[in-house]
Amino acid sequence: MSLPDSYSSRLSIYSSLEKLFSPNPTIPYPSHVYVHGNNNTGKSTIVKHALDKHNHSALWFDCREIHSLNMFYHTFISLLSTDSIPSMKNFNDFVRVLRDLSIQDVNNVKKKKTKQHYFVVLHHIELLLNYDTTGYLLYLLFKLNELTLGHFHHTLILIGHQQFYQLPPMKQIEAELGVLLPTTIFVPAYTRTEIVVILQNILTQQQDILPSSFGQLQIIIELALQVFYTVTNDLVELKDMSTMCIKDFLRNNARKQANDDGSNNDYRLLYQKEFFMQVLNSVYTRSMSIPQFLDTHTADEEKTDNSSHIATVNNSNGRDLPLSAKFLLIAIYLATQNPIKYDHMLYDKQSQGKKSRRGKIMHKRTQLESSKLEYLPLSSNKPIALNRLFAIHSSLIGDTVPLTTQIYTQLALLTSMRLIELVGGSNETGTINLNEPKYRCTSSSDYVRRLASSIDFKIDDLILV
Amino acid sequence: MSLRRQPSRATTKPSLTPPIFTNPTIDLFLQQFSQFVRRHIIENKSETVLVAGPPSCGKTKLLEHIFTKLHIEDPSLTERILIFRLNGLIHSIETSAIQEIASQHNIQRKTTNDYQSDNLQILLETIANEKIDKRIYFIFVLDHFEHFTYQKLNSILYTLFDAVYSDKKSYSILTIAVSNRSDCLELPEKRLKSRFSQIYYILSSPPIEEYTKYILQSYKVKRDVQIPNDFFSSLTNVEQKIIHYLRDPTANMNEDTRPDQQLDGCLTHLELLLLLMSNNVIKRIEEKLQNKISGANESDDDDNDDEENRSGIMTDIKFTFDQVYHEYAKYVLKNHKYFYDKAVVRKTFLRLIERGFIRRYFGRYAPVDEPLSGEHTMVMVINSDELKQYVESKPLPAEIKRYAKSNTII
Repeated sequence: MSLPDSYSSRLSIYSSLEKLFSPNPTIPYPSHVYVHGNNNTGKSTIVKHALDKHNHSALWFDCREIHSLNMFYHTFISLLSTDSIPSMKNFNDFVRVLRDLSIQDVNNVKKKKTKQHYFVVLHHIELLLNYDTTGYLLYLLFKLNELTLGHFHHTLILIGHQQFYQLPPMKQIEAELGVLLPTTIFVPAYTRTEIVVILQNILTQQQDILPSSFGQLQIIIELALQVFYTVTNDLVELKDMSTMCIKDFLRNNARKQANDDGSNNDYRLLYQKEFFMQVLNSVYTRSMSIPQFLDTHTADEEKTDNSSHIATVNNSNGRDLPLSAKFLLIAIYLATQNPIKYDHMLYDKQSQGKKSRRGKIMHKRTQLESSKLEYLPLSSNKPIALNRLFAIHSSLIGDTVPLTTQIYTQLALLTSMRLIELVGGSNETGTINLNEPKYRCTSSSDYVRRLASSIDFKIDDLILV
Repeated sequence: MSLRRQPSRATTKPSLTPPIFTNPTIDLFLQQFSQFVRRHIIENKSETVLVAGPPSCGKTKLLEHIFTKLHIEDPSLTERILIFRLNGLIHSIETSAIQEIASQHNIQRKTTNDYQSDNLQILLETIANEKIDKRIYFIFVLDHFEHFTYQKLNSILYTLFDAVYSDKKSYSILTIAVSNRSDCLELPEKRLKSRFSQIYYILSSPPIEEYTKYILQSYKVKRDVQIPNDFFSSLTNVEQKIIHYLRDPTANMNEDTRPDQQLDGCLTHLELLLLLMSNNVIKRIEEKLQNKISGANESDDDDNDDEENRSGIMTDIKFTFDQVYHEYAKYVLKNHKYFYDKAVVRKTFLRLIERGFIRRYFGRYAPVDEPLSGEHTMVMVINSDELKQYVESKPLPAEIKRYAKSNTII
């Protein structure tokens, strides 16, 4: 079975693995092989093909489906034998059962000259090692041939995404038991050119795209990768995000086919870039599912009415909030960005010395930049006391607006919309410390900035760093 | 002159023991240890001995060779010698050891007896009493011996060591402790220590060149292969490297034992930028600490600090995601590039942690399962020198290179 065309960029690595696993009368198989690289780079596929090419007996374990070591032992033995499996409580039991099975296997084989050689593949090895409380599992797996008194002939193939010496138990193993060095094969991430070719092939097959649109498909993929590839080189994520962009393109194409004279293409591509950013901010971060995103977003310049009832943090329409609520949100954002000791300088309009307030802010900003101090462990999650929040809000909105219960209502509104969060409540009893209520801003800075720009508020003037 | 036909050399039986690598030192050990084992058998004497040496220097293999040779040279002993191999990592508890001994006994005797015993002494006596007319010689190989000693009041060791002083007529026990630690005789409790004989053999790895030649010979390969001399290379690792090279001559044999972080073919631009920013944050924290300790004035140790910085020693300064994000926010405000939502930056940062470039630091009471928050502390794993070399050598966007040059100490 040859490697699929989409893995044409992996031919050299495949060839190395294929040589390692090819039968040889004089040179034994390697005892341990470690294949590593980023996620979704084709590691398991090329290992599978390399083993299948020589019709090797492979015992394949996807450690994502293994939830305990006992489960691993039982799965292992069940792959070797169809008889009832004796109970195994620990590695010791597992070794004994495995040894007995291997001896049985040797006795049953008529021609004893050829010993059965297994290829044990542990995919996502880090997950299996997480269940190891002793820290010796990896070492014991390496010594499996010795522990089974030489009866179980195998090659252990581990597939992971970290460097071998960074695996969790390695430090303990090296300190106590010695240096383990498997034959290491590194699978690099796909380059951008390779991804374009792969995505073109995949999307052409999966989506119903006319041959006349292949050129535009390539342009869209290139545009999408301009935005996405800087952030992630994971093939599956890029494929999902590109698929969404293509679907949106196809949907608009279908919608405007009757009136489309080809002049809208450039505009559509322009708007698509912003669409790509929205894809990145929503789907890539798993804050929204793909179908939901496609329902509520389009790259078309004529934006559809946002009639979705789902109010998420980043998608809540700023025009719906009352003005004072927006100022409340801006006030809490400013409170998290600037330390408390500069509040007087920033917000107190009465203390105007020789320098204007703006001048003072600029001077302070320059001072801080030049001294290169580590300003804060700044945190947009830093809780802000209610008094401080109201003080800043009053400063922003002006003295003419009195502090009424309406402000408290809007505070509650923002909390229920999850734009801010009340801190200090006990989850069990629900009691809140009313003496010092604190709020935390959970909105992103992009959203707050957009909000500020929608009401023509220059938020950058009040941010020191 | 005798007329009886003398057997010619051609008809002498060839040695049936599988070949192993030998040199004068190893030959001496084989000779001495074989004599030691025979004496145990001839004199019916229970004994304890330690065989120590660096990991993977051939301790177990040499012992197996001695036992195999013993069986071949004196087949009558096969029925009377029982060799049990226990591993301290999984057999240090008595119940596990007893199960293993029973299993290995059944393999050697080709029986299927079910020994219901929870005491090692009783088990050994049961096995010995199966052949009343013949004396049984038990040989116990305790691999990773130090792990047996970690168990307090280890009944396995007490049973095995007590045999030295007891006068058992039906069996004797030779206990061979095998360990990577040459100081493992200091590890057992006082009572056990007094029962252990002070007989020990310390082995060392043979020279890599000699061993390489032997391996190539055994695989019938006439080529010459140079294995780089690595201080930590074990014989197993040397053999695996040779196998790798023989199967795939294009493989890089000069790869370091600890290869550099595979930066190339791994990182996206945003990830690289975040790594540079983390490095920058660490340097600033270090500077701040230095200023606090030594004051704002320059100290005499400035030159040494520069040397340390240039050597790219990894630091264990802890930083938080929020500090890195703060640095990122400043960069974005200044350069108007790589502007992404905080959630995107956080996910990218998590990818760096997943792939081992940054490691989360868990305090004593921090739950391990807690998702990453802005206040969780982290430690850089990557060496700043490696990062510097990568940034300088690879074709990267100009803004990243500019940031690397202007801000970081690299």
